[in-house]
Amino acid sequence: MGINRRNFFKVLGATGMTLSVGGRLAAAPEENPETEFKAMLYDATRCLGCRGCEFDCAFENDLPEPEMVEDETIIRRTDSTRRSVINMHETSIGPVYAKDQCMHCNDPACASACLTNAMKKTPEGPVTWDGEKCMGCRYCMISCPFDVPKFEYESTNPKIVKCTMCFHLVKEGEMPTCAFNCPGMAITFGSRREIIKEARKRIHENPDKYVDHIYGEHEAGGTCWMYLSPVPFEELGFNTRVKQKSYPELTKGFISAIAPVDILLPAFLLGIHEATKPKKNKEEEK
Amino acid sequence: MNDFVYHDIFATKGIEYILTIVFFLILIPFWLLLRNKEKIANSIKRGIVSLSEKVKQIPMGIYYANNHTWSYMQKSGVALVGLDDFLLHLTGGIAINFFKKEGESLKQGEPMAEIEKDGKKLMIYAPISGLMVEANNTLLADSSVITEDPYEQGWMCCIEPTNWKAETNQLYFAREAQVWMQKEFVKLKDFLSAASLPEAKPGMIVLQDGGEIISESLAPMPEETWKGFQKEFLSL
Amino acid sequence: MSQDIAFSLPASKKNKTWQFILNELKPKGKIFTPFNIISFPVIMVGLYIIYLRFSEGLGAVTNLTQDVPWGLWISFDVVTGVAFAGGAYVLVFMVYILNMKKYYPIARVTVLNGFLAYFFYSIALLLDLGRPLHIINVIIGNDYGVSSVLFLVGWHFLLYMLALLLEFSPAIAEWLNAKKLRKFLAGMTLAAVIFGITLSVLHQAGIGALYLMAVDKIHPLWYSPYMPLMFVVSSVFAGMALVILEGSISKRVFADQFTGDMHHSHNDILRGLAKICAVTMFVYFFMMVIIFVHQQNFAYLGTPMGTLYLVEMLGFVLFPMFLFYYSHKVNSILLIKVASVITILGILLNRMNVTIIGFRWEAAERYFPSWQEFIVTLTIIFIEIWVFRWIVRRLPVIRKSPNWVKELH
Repeated sequence: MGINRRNFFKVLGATGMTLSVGGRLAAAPEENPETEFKAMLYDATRCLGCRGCEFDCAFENDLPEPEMVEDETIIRRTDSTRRSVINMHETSIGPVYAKDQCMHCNDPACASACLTNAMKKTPEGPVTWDGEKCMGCRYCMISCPFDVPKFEYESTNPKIVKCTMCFHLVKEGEMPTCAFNCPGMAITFGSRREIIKEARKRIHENPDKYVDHIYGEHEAGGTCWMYLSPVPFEELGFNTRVKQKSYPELTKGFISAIAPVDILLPAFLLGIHEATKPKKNKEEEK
Repeated sequence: MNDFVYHDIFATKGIEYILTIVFFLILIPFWLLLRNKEKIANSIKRGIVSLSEKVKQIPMGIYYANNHTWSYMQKSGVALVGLDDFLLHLTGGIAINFFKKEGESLKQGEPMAEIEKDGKKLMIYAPISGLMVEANNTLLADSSVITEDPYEQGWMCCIEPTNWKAETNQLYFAREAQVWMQKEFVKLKDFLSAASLPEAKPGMIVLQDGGEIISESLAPMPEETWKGFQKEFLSL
Repeated sequence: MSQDIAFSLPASKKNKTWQFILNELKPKGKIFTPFNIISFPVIMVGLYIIYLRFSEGLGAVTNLTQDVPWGLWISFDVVTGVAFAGGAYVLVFMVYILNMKKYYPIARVTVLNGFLAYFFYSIALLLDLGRPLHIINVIIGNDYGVSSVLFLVGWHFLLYMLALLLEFSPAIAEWLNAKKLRKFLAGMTLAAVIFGITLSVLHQAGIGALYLMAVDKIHPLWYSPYMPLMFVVSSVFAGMALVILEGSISKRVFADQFTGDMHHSHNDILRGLAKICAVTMFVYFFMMVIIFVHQQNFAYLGTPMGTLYLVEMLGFVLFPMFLFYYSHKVNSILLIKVASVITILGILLNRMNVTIIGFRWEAAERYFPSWQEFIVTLTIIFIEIWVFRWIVRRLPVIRKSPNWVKELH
């Protein structure tokens, strides 16, 4: 029968598609520093405030050279021309510097929000942006709990600008440029496992020097940029109200409900339609 | 959740959406199929009703005359002539008396035969002119053949036509015949309802639009009705 | 004599089609109405601003900031507009699924309104995109971002527009006098209706779900994990209120198409819709109270945001709900219309609160739309009304279908 054959091919096609797409479902990973996330650690106690990392970043990523800072008390933010900034914060122990850039979350809200997969979490760790796919909807900006992605409103072909952890270097096995040249050795690069170990070690060995908290270990479900600070993180302008679990989990409930609703609702509607049909007269049957 | 390797919590979403679309695509024919069973049953019922409007067989290639005779040219050049089952359905089984013998010539419009049921008679006029070749002897032996198979075994007579083309030009053919037959049916319903008024017996005739006409409706009717039927339906 | 000859000559089909097109393109009705006089210059300015948006970038015509990336165009044209277009799916549900034949006369015009709304708001969305041409990536599949709620909303928009077009297509077939086509299209109505209602429920919820990840950015009085559900519920009475308002306006503007019996049945319809609004708003209000308690938001009531919240809830949800109920008691059509206007303003306020006013409410740099954004929004709405008017004057949307339609049934 025509209908059955058609359905058979539809199901066959769907099965084929399923098998090919489902193939990329990963099996449980084993511990292997080579394939795990790379991460970076910023130690606020070691930062000299030289802003060399800002210049290196601009040079490496073809951005305009950062201007000289006249007044250090003004807090600067990243924008469409600078991916990373160093700010001086007046804290209870005096001036402390803090670096601001993309946190490269383990389960990034921006990557989950991006409907073209322009924002993508790479297996190496950095979260990258693909201009070929981006349509400039700015949904990543809405979703990011750290307000990281910046948009080129002034351009007719706008980009989303944010730190990429120098992915073009990382995937070749090299170190991001800000970590490479830091004179105070405030920025460390390694696998996420090693970085956390290193951070814990520093806290353990110098309990008076550091606040006992690695910012980024669990924030937003864990990030690949982590921070150590001598003072409570609010004093350095960090958002401490950020949730300790991944942000895409917030949409998981809704997204999981879609397929069931898409299947149950039509069936339900069909049922009601049949139930409310007026009883047909045999004579006036059409 | 693994803190060191990427774990996509929406990994299966693509497959799920594809499955949802597949569901929709299958639901539509599935539902239609379920409902079609009813639809098929209903259309069969309607078909039965409408079948009685379109007389059961209207074979193609046959010329119909106004008086419900049919003519069909065989390969041999000799035409078959018979009665259509509209007429036969109404009368039921009949006896035939031919007026012409083999070898005699017929003219279109001349009385060709007479059919009789229970003493009531109807005159059949010849639809075409020609030479009477043969009368169907099997009819004389078994009169049920004509009602059961009016277009094949139940042919009435063979005529070698002398003016086939010109005469059949005026007769009904194919689509025209169907249209004419439907009109005749409407005419019949009117005729029968008018005829049955004085002595309507419930259950004998079911006459509503789309209703079924029980066969042999004419049979129990009185002589006058038959005479009226002759005038209305069996004149050329 | 020559006239007879003209009639007996067969008119070529091409000529007939050309004449038909020319005839339909002619304006019907007065050209210099107050509405036209106001809307035409606005549209012209708006089109110029749209040109500027593409030649000079978004920053040149909008006040969007890095903190508030979605402004008036998204928040009004897309989020609020979609809520108002909810009338289409609710009405179609009542007429085709629940078989409430009473509302059949307004089904077609509501579906048309829904289709035009989604069509034009999609255009507004395209205007807002930074790289609008790349939207093709979402459609053809240059990497589907299936984890994204926006992906879902986008696709549902597209499919829902198709469903609405399908539901409306019998009217187009009637306009073109294509009988077989109309019969074919009418047979697909049930499938389009069911498909459409499902899609509609999901994307109304989806619009709310878009903001789920912005948990830190939206004021707690408006943010809740139930936002999707609340958006669906409020879209029901938002749609109904707009149907009431639009019906009242159409009755005056297109009075020539309303036959006598339609006036009476129209009032009946308004009364029915008012009742539905009253009940839905009652349900919505109580759900909001429950959510309020659940999130333990009591502390916020004293703040300015708290006052705004109370104004929205009490003044623009509870109050019109009472008006609808009261209009039922005293049988006043005027009260229904007043209540529906207040409801519409309330929905607008609610959506604005979630997406702009309550979004980054504590940011140093507050966002307020630029005048260009207002003009462009008005332009899109005016163009939509122009198209609506064009269609209603030519197709059997408000007036009854041509006579041959009954033959087919």
